[in-house]
Amino acid sequence: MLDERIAELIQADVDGELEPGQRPELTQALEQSEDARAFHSEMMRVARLMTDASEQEPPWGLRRKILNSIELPVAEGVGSWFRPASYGLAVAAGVLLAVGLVNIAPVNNSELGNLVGTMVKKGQNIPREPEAGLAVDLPQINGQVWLKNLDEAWVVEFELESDTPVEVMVDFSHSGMKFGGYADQAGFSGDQELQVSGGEVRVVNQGNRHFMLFLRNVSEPQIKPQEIGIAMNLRGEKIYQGALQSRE
Amino acid sequence: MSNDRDRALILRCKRGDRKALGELVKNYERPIYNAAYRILGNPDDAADVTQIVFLRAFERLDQYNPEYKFFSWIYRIAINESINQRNRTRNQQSFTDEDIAVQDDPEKELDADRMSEIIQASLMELQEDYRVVVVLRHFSDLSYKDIGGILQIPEKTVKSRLYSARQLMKTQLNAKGVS
Repeated sequence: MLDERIAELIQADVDGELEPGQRPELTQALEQSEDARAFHSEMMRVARLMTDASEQEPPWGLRRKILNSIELPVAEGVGSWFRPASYGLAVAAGVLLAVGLVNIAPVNNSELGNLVGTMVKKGQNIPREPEAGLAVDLPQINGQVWLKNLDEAWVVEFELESDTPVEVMVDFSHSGMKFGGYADQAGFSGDQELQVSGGEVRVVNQGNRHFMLFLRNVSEPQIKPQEIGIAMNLRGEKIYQGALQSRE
Repeated sequence: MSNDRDRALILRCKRGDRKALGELVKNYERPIYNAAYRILGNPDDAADVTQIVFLRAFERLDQYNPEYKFFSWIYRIAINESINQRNRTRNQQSFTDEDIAVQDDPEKELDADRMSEIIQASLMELQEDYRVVVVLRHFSDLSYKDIGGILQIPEKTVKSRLYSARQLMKTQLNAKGVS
């Protein structure tokens, strides 16, 4: 039968809570008692088995769900059209497009000449559940990219964070879609870099950004985008490449 | 996880800074989810609980006393919500001995996922107060002091529950052929 005091020291050792002054007492007990050695070894084994048990990965999209469910006081300087609480709600959809289109006007690009009318029916929600998603977890940039279906249009939504400017390239040339608009949480300013060329959009991300690209479905009959390529470059060097594909 | 950093993030959250909220959720999503998973034994329930924990925490942010560690506070919510969820779904236990029958060939090495399942099955056989201390100690890597703070029990009780829980775990693991 193991002495209670020795059992306590063994447990403290197993848990990394043994105080330096207790070490000699434990060492002596382990040297003198076979029971103590057996108990120490067993407890270490059980502890190691548990510590080594594989960590579970939270399901994809959980963080997004959590963030969407939490309301904070509205920060100063955040436009009402993109308040977190209203994000994804019907009211956002129509206004968001309008802001995106008005703000995009300074960009000198022939593609933008087609940006007329609305892409989202009044009252239509931007869906919370994505068709596809990518998680970006790099030291230079991290965040998530989603593909969402609005029936008449598709949305590629970005929530990214980078300390330095990172070029985000969206290639939808094989998707059967056409560029339809851009919206940014912070609004659009002439300082932002946005270029549209053929089936490709280039946006430069710096800081914590939340923005969306709208792609128009121009095919008859309506199709789902086959593949939308996402690449990220830092100072001309590709640091990330992925693809969004809609569900079959 | 630094409490000073957490405190600064919470202050920013109170001012409506969603970037700070994002950082807090990023820091605690995985540990909260893993603790909930080990207590509940079911990934869907663990995900639900994780979401509820953050929701409750931010609803009650004004009740958080910054003199105490934020992680202790949010873990306490996580443990309470996990126990509530467990009570709601008590009759739908995910793991049974039959599910976790040990492989026929005892010589064959158990892979990490299989071992994790066996550990989980053994955990689910522990009574709740034992399981919680084991989860906080081994899966959340918390000290006796922190566990005592979260569960609001003396350190001595933490030690004694851990001692009993490990004895039971040892017996169960041996019975499942894990040597």
